[in-house]
Amino acid sequence: MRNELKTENKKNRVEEPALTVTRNIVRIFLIVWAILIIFPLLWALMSSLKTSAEFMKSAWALPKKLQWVNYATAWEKANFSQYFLNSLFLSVGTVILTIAFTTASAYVVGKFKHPVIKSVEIFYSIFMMVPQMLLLLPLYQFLRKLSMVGTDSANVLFTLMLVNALQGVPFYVFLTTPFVRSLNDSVLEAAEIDGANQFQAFITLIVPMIVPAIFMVGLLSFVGIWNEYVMSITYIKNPKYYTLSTGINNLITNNQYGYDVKFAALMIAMLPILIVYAIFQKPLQNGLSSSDGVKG
Amino acid sequence: MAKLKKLLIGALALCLTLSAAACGGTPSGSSVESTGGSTGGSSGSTGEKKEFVLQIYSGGYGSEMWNYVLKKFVKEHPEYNVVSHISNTVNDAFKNRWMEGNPPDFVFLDGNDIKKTTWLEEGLLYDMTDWLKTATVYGSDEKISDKINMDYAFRYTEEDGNEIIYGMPLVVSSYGMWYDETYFNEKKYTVPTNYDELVSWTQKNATKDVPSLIYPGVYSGYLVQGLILPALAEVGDEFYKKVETASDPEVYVSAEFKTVMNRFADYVKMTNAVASCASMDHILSQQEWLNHKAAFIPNGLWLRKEMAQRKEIPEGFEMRYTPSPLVKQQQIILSSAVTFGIAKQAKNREAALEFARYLYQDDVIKEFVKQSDSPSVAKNVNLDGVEISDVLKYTQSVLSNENYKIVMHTGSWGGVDTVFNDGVNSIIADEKTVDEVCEELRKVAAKQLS
Amino acid sequence: MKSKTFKRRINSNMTPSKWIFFAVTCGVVLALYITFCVVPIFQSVKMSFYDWKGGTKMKYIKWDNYIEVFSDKIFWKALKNDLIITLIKEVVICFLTVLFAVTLTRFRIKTGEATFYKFVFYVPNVLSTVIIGALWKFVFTSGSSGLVNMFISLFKEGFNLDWLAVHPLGVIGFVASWCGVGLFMLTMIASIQQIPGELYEAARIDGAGEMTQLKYITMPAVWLQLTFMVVSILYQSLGGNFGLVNVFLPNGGTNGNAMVMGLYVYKYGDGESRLGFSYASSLVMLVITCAISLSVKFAMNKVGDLI
Repeated sequence: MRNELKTENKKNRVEEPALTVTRNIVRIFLIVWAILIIFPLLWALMSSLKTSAEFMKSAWALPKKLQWVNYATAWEKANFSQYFLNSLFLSVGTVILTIAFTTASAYVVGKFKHPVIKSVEIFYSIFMMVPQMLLLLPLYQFLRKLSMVGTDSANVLFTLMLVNALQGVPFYVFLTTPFVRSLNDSVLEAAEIDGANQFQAFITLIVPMIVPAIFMVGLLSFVGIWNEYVMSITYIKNPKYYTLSTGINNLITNNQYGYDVKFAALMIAMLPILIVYAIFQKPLQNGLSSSDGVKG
Repeated sequence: MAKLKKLLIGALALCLTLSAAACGGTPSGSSVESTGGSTGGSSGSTGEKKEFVLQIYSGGYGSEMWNYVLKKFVKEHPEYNVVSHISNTVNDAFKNRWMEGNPPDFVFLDGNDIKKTTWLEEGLLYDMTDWLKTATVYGSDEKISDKINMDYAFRYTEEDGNEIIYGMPLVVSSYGMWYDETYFNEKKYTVPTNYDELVSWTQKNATKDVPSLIYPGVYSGYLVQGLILPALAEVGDEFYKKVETASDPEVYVSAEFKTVMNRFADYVKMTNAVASCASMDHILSQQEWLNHKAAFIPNGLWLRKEMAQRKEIPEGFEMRYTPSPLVKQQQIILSSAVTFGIAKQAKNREAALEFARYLYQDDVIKEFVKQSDSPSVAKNVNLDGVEISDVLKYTQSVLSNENYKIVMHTGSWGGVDTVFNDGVNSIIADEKTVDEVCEELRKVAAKQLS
Repeated sequence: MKSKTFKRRINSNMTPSKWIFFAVTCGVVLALYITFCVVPIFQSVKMSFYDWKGGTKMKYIKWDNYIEVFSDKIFWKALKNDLIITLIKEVVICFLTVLFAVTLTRFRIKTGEATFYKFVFYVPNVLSTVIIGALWKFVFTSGSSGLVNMFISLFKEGFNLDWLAVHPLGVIGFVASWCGVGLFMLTMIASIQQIPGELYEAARIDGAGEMTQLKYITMPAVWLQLTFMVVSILYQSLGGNFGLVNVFLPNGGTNGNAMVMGLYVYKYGDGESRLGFSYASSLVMLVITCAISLSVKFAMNKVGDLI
């Protein structure tokens, strides 16, 4: 194999000039785009260490003294510690529910053959396409009638867990079903013949075999819920239960705090997800060929 | 690479531990509901105590005076479970409750997002006319309607012609064109008092770096209230009443109205007249103004307090304001008030009315005056011994200045508000002509009356 | 021991045990899903024919809400704005995606360098809309603290443009593209990498240079993925532009300059509590979105056949 490659490279040593030129031109685009991504983030970091007055005087200048106190202010006074907790609580809860809902449904849709099951699969694939805006407000009214999103109780977070998990079901089932389908039927048939009921089969056989898929669902839904914005700002009206997204939104609309706190809060909200990304970069990038992650 | 991963996992663990630590801490700060000594915000009643719910927007005026009076009230009324929601997000948090028939009992009618117009149209505010016939200030025999200047009460004419009093005033509210006296003295600027002076001031002194005017594009009501309305009031009292209450749609396309609007349009189209501020909110425009990025800003009496709370007023900055220079010659101060209301569907109206009586006690009035930099609506209040700010002293001198005509501004023009606010932005951005905007005003006023 | 009952007429491998499992798991989830994610939509259809503000007063007004939506200039402006933002997204994202994906796979960029780009370019996709919106809002802010204004001031003295007021759609379109490229680039790379190596090998043996290989082998696969991308972006943006716009200009800008359909629905539903009207506009938005997406998909398939 190695020899073949070597000979191949030798043959292609003389590169087409068109290729080299194009590559270098594109490199410029690549570098510019990379700068466009890295620079604003670094700028946000730098700005978070300035005082408000310093920032307003010049957005470019380096801070005279690193104002780590901004983070303390955002964490304590602007309640971002509370928002962080709420986000964490909501995300973990939603992930657990999502995994629970998805894995069992994926097993059924993947391995159970029956017209009824097939229609469930079709049903989910249709409703996967429903735009969120359509559901947002009527669902809010629906939940209000059931007292599930009252301003004064933490119910709203539990409700959001449920509703977010449910909304993800069609997509994550769609994502996981191929995994389940690819599992060998013979093992399952053997278990059935041995008298095991479906619950036992599911827990002892299926789940261990689709751990990678479960992991991906968990990761994707965690990132998705951590960043969830539209439902959070509509449903959570009590500052005590704000998530990070709602908190940042409030920070901008109500403009109660200066730039020092605003940037520090942005960094607090960004850091956890960036860390998760850095650690789980490969699975996240791999899990996206079917994920609809376009913002905007 | 493995080391980096370990480092990152460590960082994540740190984040989680920090959040666990945050568990124990109690969040403080004004974005959390503060109560005058009550138990938390449970929607059920605790024991036999009847709930008394207040919706109090806390913005430029701050909330110290509310805490003061609530403390008194709670102490003397242990039979009520007083749940006061005081923050800058209350209006948003409560808006659904109003529409569903579950409003709070008491509401402070302030904030950029207060849905006063909708509530009036839907008949959701309690008519206090009857109550005022006998209501007295708490702890005395003096009738509230005698003690305070009832010209400041907010009235609204319902569909059936019945006029209700829905808003009882707390402090005087007035707009002006604010500037920095220190800066003006330095630059030897004179303050324009009428339109011609405004034009020549702008021609002479406005530069690209320091235009003559800045305002919050997102809340262009500031510009309408501060610059344009006084000029409309100059035309005449009858005329102004029609404008203010949208009682006659034709007034918006009348010659006098268009004259004022054309004056406005000519002014804003001058070079360096208006800063590029169409996407700014009030805080940003005020911050720019404080940093001398513009000479004038239309604003209200809460301005000093609002920016002082944020500690963003530079050293030596002397806040002063002048009546709108858009007038032909007579300088006019529009005098209004900030009010509170009571929900018609309130579950505990008696507590709300009782609380209202507390608001007019002398010590409470003094607290409101001191904290809001605004004159009281009470006819005779002795402010001796009360530490008042420079701005309030200045306001008192302005209101007693004989050269200025005071015009009451307490009417409500419903949907005209949004259209007018959008209209001035369109004129400044050269997207609509004065005639087009006037026609839109006429249309919306006509639609309201039908 | 129970034996399986094969129903030969229906294709089924169900057993009673399987039915129980289905009912308890998938069935329950399905029931919950229908309750919370389907029923409200039908409720919104019903209430769109009423004048309803969320309370107890509701008046049946037949098609009045829909008529009002269709005759509202601002709604059509919102549609126009949606299309403009989406167009900007399509052009920027598709161009950069194809450019980057093809380069990173076919143009012999060193692996280390390619990994770096892949890592960095996906970062915007893991950030929340509100964080991205807040960050770029500060960058484009007018007045002295705006980064862009200050930057340009270095070249052109005293430059101070209120970007969000004068070019709201440009700013929003740019930012929306900024956070969209990464994801699609990685998907495109994945599909290019799926092209069998033998095809390239065969072409090379036949004497085709890199650029020719690119044109005849890589591009057709890219086009397929591109069609999917274009329709996907289009479908999501027409309702979803709301998120980003709400961070930048929650009131929709002066005169509806930055109004988009999603924001229109939200403004009347959440802001002004005119729920019946809001529902009507959201249904109109759905119909328009589906119509446009389907036509574009159809058109692109036709074009794909022709190439």
